[in-house]
Parts: sequence; structure tokens; C-alpha cells
Amino acid sequence: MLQKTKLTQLEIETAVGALPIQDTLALRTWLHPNKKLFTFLDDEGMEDDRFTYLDLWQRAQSVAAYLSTRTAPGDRVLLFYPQGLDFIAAFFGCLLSNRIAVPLSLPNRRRVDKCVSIIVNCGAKVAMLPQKTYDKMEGSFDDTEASDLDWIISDDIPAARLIAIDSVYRSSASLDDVAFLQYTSGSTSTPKGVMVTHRNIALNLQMMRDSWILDAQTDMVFWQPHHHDMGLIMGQLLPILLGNHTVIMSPNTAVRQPAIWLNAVSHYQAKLTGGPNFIYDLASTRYSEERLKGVDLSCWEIAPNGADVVRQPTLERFYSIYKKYGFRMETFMPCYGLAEATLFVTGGPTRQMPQHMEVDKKVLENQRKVVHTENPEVARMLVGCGEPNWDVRVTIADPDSCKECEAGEVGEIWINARTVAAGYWNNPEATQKTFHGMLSNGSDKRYLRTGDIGFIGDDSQLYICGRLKDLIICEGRNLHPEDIEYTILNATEKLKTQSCAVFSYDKDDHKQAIVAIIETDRDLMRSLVEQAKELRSTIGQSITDEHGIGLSQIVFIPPATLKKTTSGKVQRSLMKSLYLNGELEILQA
Amino acid sequence: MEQQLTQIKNTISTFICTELNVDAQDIDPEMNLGAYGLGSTAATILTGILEDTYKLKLSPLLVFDYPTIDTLSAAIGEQIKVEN
Repeated sequence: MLQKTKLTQLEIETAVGALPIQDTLALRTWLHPNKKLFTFLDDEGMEDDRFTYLDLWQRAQSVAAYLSTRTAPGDRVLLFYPQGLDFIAAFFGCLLSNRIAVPLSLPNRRRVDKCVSIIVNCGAKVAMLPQKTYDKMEGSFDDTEASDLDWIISDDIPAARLIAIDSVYRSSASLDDVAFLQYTSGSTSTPKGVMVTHRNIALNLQMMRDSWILDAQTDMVFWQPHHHDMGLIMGQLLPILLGNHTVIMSPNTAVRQPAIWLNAVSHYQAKLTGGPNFIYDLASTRYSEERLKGVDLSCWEIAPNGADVVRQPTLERFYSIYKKYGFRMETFMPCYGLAEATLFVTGGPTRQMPQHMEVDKKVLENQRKVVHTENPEVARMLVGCGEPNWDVRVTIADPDSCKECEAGEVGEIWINARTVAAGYWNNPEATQKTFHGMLSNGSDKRYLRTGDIGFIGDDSQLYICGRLKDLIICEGRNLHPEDIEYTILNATEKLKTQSCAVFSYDKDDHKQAIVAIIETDRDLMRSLVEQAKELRSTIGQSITDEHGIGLSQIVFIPPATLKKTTSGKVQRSLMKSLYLNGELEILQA
Repeated sequence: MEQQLTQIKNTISTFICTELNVDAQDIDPEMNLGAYGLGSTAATILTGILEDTYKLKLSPLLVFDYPTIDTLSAAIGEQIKVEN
């Protein structure tokens, strides 16, 4: 591996931030082969599978050797895996053999559209998956553009022979090679695969380590799925950079029984664990004294809360319930990030009280300015999502003029950093639009345009106020209103000729509501009373089948009252403000 | 037994009404729960609540295999009977 007998601690720290993550794995395997790396818990929280650093290296090595016989360097390899250690081995197998990994969520048999459009976009010819997943998915892609995929069943891959530690090697990857494609952005019709390079990963992980003060003793518990940037980067790659022990469980386990998650934090004395805001809410509503006997959360140093709106009442409620188990308010670390910037953009300083402020929401919306207020009538509570790493430049810009905003002004969040990804795979137009933002000041610096609206407070924290576009963020997932609208209009023949607008709004401090406004034509308007109930349930069923979420309200409005631009595009934000201000003419809600 | 079944049905309906914003009068025990907007996360949460209420370990797929209030309550009632 190296021409040295040992490394100093400083050399290790530098090396792990400068190597592709698979080479960091090699280095750590060489340094401490038998140290525990990952433990997987089953849906009852019992240990189900384990990897030492050497185990992962060997498994990944076997996968890499096999991939070399079936694919060429640079090929995209789709990974369809349930949460678990097999995924991690498959992912590292791709990296070790210079194949580009494409982690995807398992498609529902009825929900293959989005998956097919991703497969077409990334041009993958091969998919890798365990036998049990293959059995469930077999035939899903018949009669689609992805019907000729070649399947690799990872259970059949022969295990590599035990290797001598000295024979671990560095991969041939260069830091600017694309490591994997992250398909969390983009709608069904226009999938967007973020091209994350080895350099992006190494630097982003190093930033988290340094900004949050993490080390090999920072053991973690993670339940976020690996097809989501937080689950993959923070949950499964950060452990390798740190050299820690990380416990993984399925998202379903934590959502079904949040107490299993909290018990794991206590049992493994984890210092870092968290998730989107909803998991803290859920842990509060589902609190069960009986299930938490003997639990000690005083070990918990950092609780990231990101990927969705961070709500102050959620933090306070969680703290009020769990303080008796040793949980500290200072443990909360609201953060902000996105796949286009690898993951982490802002978060911390850690182990300090999270910041929040109340701003005048009217001034915020109408003038895009930050004015503090204590008047509850107009106040909107915002939580600070942390400061950027020293190597990241966060700028607030006017989304139309591209002029940099003054202090106290609200605008689009722009990012310039070495952790900004290389663009969207096979999509130069979207890459240009999103990744090549230029400020109007004449500087040739390129910025990532996040589409998020926010400002930097006097406390240097980044505050997020909303989305520039109509994107709906639900349980940490990005949903495109056009996809939901499409599903509604195709739910039954009767709706095919109608139009609709879907948007979300904050119902109260804890909950977001997703509303569908459906414009009826004359025929439907006349028969609405008899048909509404059936229509509602058909729509509800289609939305849960296709998108796995529920609509909070379905509103029918009269013909020709849905607002559209002159070019015929639905004006969702206008419909939303009419709805919220009670100015909408409603047939039935 | 009949009483317990009613109780299970109530637990499910209450969840649907409060979590998914549905009027109690619109609850139809034979309707597919997806039609009320029960998505995958909400289905998983419901499973956990039923586990806690009836001191059971339920399959994460139960709600998908028995997707109406009637069939789901019957399946849970059956499991309670078997375990006792």
C-alpha cells in the first residue's frame, strides 16, 4: 500500500481528505483491518450483519473483480439494494473498478416510469442487486425502454480469497473522475443525475470532520436510505473517512419504532445521529417510556437536522421529552445541504444552542427583506441552518438580476465550493442553468444556483425561507408538482381533460399540507356532486401508489378559473396565494 | 372478540382521521387505505402504533397485504388470537 512502515496521525488526517474514498478504505484496512466498521440492525434492532474494515475491502474487491469481467471502466452500474451492508460492498466494488455507481430506490412494480427514465438518461446497461430483490423485481421492466438490462445477482459473485493486508492497493481512479450519480433531483420527465466526483466526496467528508470536530471515536447510528445523499454520504462514507464504527438500520425500522433508533444510540453510545425534521417529531409523538427503559442519550453530541424545513417547536418538544434521558439542546445541529454540492454546505458550530429568529413574514414575502419582529401576528420563526465550512462561499443573489444581495436582503442561495458537483449527467442544458451561475458583478466565478431562498443572519447563520421553484419537500424527499399533477389527471378518464395545480404550504408549526386544486370542465362540474367521492378516492389511491405520499386536500374549482400564464403554464404560486387568502372560488373542498 | 375487533378498527380510523385529515363520516371500512392518502411513511407509522397499542410485532408489509380497515383489523385480530 505504502512505502512506509507506519503513518503519523497527521499524515493519516491529510491522506484521508486527499484520497478517493475507496483508497481511504484501503488505507484504513491497512491501518486497522479488524476494527468494526458497520453493524446492521434488523427491524427489531437486533444485530443482523457486521463488517470489519477488512470485510468490506474484501467484499468490495470481489465485486470489483467480477464487474471487470462484465463491464468496462466508466460504465454506469445501477444498484438496487434494500438498506444493508450488501449495498455498501456493491457500491465500493463499483468505485474500486472505476465503474460509476448509480444507487436507486427499489421501484414499485407500478412505479417504474421514473426509474426507466433514469436508466435511459444514464445509459446503464447493467444492474446489480441481491437475489431476493431480483425475485421481486423480475419482469418490472418488460416492455419498457429498459427491458434489455443485463442483471448481475450479487449473491452469485464468488468471494475473493483472504488477502494479505500488505496487498491492499490504491485504485487507479483520479480525483476528478465521477464516482457516482445521485438521482434525487429532477422530475419523471427530466431526471437529473448529479455527477459526484471523488474529489467532491473526499473534500465534503473532510469538511464535515473538521467543521463538526469528528474523529475515529465519533461512532454513529444511521437509518437514512443509501439512495438519498444524507444516507449515503454521511451515513455510509463518512464512517470510512473517520475510521469509526457505524450502526445502520432500515428507514422503516426507525419510522415504525423510533424507540429502536434511540435504543441503538444508547446501546452503541453513538455521538452522531439524526435525520430530517420529521423523525424528531415522530420520536416525540411516539414516545414510549416502556420502550426506553435504561436508555442514556448523554453520549449524543451531534443531531443533524436537515434535508427538510427545520422547525423550532420540533426541537423544543423533542428536548423537553428526551432531556430526562440526558439529551442536550446543544446537540441539535440544524444544517443545510444538497446533492448538487455533494451533501454538506452549512452546519454548526456544533455543540452550541441552535440559533433561531422571528422575522416579519409580510416584509419577507413582499419586499424580500429581513426585519425582526416580536408581533406574533406577522412573525415567522426561522431556525439557523449553520455556518459554511471555511472553503465554501455562500452568496445570496437576486435570482432575476443575478446581483449580489445586501446584508438583510433575501435572495437565492448560491454556492461556490470545490464540493460543488461536476454537473448533471448527460444534461448540458440543466447543468448550464444550475451549475454555471454568474453574478452580475463581472466576476468569472461560477456558482451553483440552489433554487432555495434564504439569507445570512447577523449571527452568520444561513436561514432558509423557501423554494424559488415549486418543488415540494416532503419527509426529506423532493417531489415535483408536475409529476403529482400528471398522476392526478391520469388517475381516471374523467380527469384527463381537466387541469390542476399542486402546491404545499405550512399548515402550522409542525405540519406541511399538500393541496391539489382541480379545475373542472362543464360536464364534470354538473356531475360533481355524484362523482366527487369516487374521484377523491381514486386520486388518493393513485397518488399514494405513485408517489408514496398523501394529499391533504383536493379542491374542485369551476371551469376557466385555474390561473395560467399566456403560454399555458399553471401558475402554482398564484393559485397557492389565492387559496391561502380565501380568494378562490371553490365548488367543493 | 367482537369488541376487540371494533377497538382495532377504531385505532386505525382515528389514525386516518387525525394523521390524514379525513372526516370520520367519510371513513369506509372497505375502502383501500391508499385512497385516504396513506403513503408508505404513514403506513409504517400506523404499523408502529398498532404494535404499541396491541403489544405485537407486526410485519412491515401487513398494511400493504391487508389494505382496508376491515381486512387489516381482521388480520391483527387473528394474530392476537394466535399469540394468546
